[in-house]
Amino acid sequence: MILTILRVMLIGLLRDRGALAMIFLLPPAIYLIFAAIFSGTGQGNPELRMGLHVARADAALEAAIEAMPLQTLRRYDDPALLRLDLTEGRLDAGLVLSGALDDVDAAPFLLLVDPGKPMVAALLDGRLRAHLGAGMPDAMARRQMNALSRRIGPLAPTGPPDPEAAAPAALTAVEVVGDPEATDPTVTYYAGAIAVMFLLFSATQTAAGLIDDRRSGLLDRFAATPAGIDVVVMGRFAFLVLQGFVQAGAVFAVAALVDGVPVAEHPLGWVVVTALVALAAAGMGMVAAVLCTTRAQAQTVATFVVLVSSALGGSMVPRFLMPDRLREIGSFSPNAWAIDAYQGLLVRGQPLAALAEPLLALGALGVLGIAGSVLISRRRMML
Amino acid sequence: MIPLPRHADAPPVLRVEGLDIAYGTAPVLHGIDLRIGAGEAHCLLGRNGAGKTTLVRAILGRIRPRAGTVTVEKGRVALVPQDIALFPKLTVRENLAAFARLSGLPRGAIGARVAETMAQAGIAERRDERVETLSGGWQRRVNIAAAILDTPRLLVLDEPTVGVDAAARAGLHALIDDLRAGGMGILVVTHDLDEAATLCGHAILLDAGRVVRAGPIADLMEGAFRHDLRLSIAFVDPAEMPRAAALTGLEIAGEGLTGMVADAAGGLHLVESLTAAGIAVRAVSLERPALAHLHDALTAGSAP
Repeated sequence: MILTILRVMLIGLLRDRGALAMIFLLPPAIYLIFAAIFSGTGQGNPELRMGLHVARADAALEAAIEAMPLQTLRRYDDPALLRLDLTEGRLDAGLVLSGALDDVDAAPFLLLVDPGKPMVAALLDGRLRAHLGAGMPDAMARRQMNALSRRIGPLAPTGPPDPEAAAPAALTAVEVVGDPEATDPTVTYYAGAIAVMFLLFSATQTAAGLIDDRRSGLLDRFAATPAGIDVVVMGRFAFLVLQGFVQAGAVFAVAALVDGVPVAEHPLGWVVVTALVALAAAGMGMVAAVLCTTRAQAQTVATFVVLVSSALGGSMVPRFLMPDRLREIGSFSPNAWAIDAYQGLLVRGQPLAALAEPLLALGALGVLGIAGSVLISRRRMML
Repeated sequence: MIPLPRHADAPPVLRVEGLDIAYGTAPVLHGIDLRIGAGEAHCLLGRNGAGKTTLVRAILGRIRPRAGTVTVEKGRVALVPQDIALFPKLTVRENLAAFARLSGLPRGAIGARVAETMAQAGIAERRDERVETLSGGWQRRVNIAAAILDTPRLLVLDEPTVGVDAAARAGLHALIDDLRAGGMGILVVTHDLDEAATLCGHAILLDAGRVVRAGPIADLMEGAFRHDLRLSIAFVDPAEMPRAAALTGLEIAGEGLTGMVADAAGGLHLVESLTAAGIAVRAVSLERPALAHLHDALTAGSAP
C-alpha cells in the first residue's frame, strides 16, 4: 500500500515539469550563485571598481597598486572628480596615494569609501596589505621595522624608547565620502533590496489571478463586452502598480520609523523611484501571468525568476561582493536597478536626473511588460 | 427590460453564412449557415470535437473566419460561460455594478439597471451576499444576470445548469425562457439533451464541423422518425438476446433490445412473436423518441 502511494507520487512528480524545476533545478541554481559570490569574497578577491589619485608620486608603489586584482582601476588627476564618481556610484572605492610607505608618521594611503559599501574599506585594506606584502616585501618590512622602533625603541641598543613619540600611523586612513551623520547605509540598502524582492513576489502572485479569470471564462465574458480584455489586463496592471507602491511604502515606513532611513528627506524622489519599481514589478508579473496556462505554472516560473533575479540583483548579497561575471548578469535585473536607484537617492543623495539609467530601465520594463501582456492576451483570445 | 421586436419578419439576431474556419491548415468548420430569430431558443448539439466551441467563438467575434460571415444584430452578443465567471469576493450587487460599467452603460443608469436585472433574475433577495457564499444555483443565476445587463440581442449560454439540483435547474430554465419570451435570441450549448429539448424550440446538430440538421425540434424529430415509437425490451435471461434480435430485427442496446416501430400494435406484435418463440420477456417500454435518439442517430459515426 505504501509502495503504491510512493509510486503514484513519483509518477506525479516526474510528470510535473514545474515541480521538477523547483525541486531539482532551483536549489542548484541558487547554490551556484551563492557559491560564486562567496567563493570570490572568501578568496579575498572582490572585483572592485577603484579610482586612484596620486598626490605624491612613487613609481614603485603605483606599479604595485596597478597590479592589484581589481575589476577596474581608474586614475584621476583631480581628486574632486574621483570623489564625484564615488558619490554617484561609478566607483566602489577611491585610493589616494599621499605618502611614502616607510613613513610611519602619516598613512601613505587614504581610502575613500562609498557610504553604501562600508565593508569595502576593510576588504581593500586587507587586500592592500596582502598585495604589498607579497609584491614589495622589503618596503613593507621597512615600514614595520620603523613602526616597531617607534613602539619599542630602536632595534639596535642605542637607548630606551621615546615615551613622547607619537604612535605610528596605520597603512591606510579611511574616509567615508558623504554625510557622516547619515543613517547606516546598510539598513537603507536592505530596505530597497527587500522591498523590490517582495514587490516582485507579490506582483507575480497577484497577477496570476488573470489565469483564474481566463479559466473561469471571465475573460471570454469581457471579450464580448465593449470593454474587451485590454481593460482587464490594464486594470490588473494598474492595481499591481498601486499594490506595489503601498507595499514598498509599508517597508520604507518601518525602515524610516525604526532605523531612520531618510525617506522624508527625499519625498518626491522616493515617490518616483517607488512608482517605477512598482511599475517594473507589475510588468514582470503580468507577463508571467499571460504566458502561463495554470496558476501552478505561474507560481513556479515566478518563484524561479524572482529568486534568481533577487540573488543576482543584490537583494540577498550586495552586488559589489560578486565576481565580475555575476555582477554583469545581475545588472540586467530589476532588483539591481531598484537598489541602485534607492541607494543613489537615499544614501548618496543624488538627484533623480543622476539616476536616469536605473529609472529608465525600470520604466522600460514596466511599459514593455504591460504592452507585451496586452498583445499576448489578445493573441491568446483571438485564435 | 427593454422590449425587443418579435414580429415574424423581424431581422434575425444572428446570421451565419458560409462560415469556414481552420486552425492552421486543419479545417474545423465547413460551410456553416445558421439563423436565430428574436425570441427563439436554439440548442447547439454535437459530440466533443464537433466544432461547437469554435462556432461559439466565431459568433463572439473571437476567431477570424477563413470564409463566410457572422452577423449579430447591432453586434450585441453576450456570453454566459460554463464556469461561474464572477468576482467571488464581491456581493451580487457589486458584481453586477462592475459588469454594468464594463458593458459601457451610462454611469447614471447603472443603479437602476442593476436593480432591474436583479429583479428579473430573481436574485434581489441575495443582493448583499458575496458570490462565493451563494449556492451553485444562485451563482448560476448571477452568472446569467451579469450577461443581460445591457440587454444583448443574442445570449449564448454554455452548459447553463451544469452541477445544479433539479429545483435550481427548473428555476434557471424559467429564467432563460423569460429572456427568450422577452425577445432575446438564445443559443444554448449543451451536452444535456433533455435540457436542450426542454429549453429550446430549435436545434442545431453539428458533426465533424458541419451542420447535419438544423430547425425546429418538432420538425427534425418528425423528419427523422415520422410518428414512430421507440420500443425497448428487457429479458429474463439476457443470453436470449441474440436470438431475440434475429427474430425481431431490433438492435441489442445495453441489457435489452431497442428499435423503432410504426405504432403500438407493431410493438405488441413483436413482443408476441418473442413469447411464442419461448423467450421470456421481463419488461417492455414504448415511448416517443427523444432528441437524444436523433442526436445519437446522426452522430453515431463520430463517437470518440
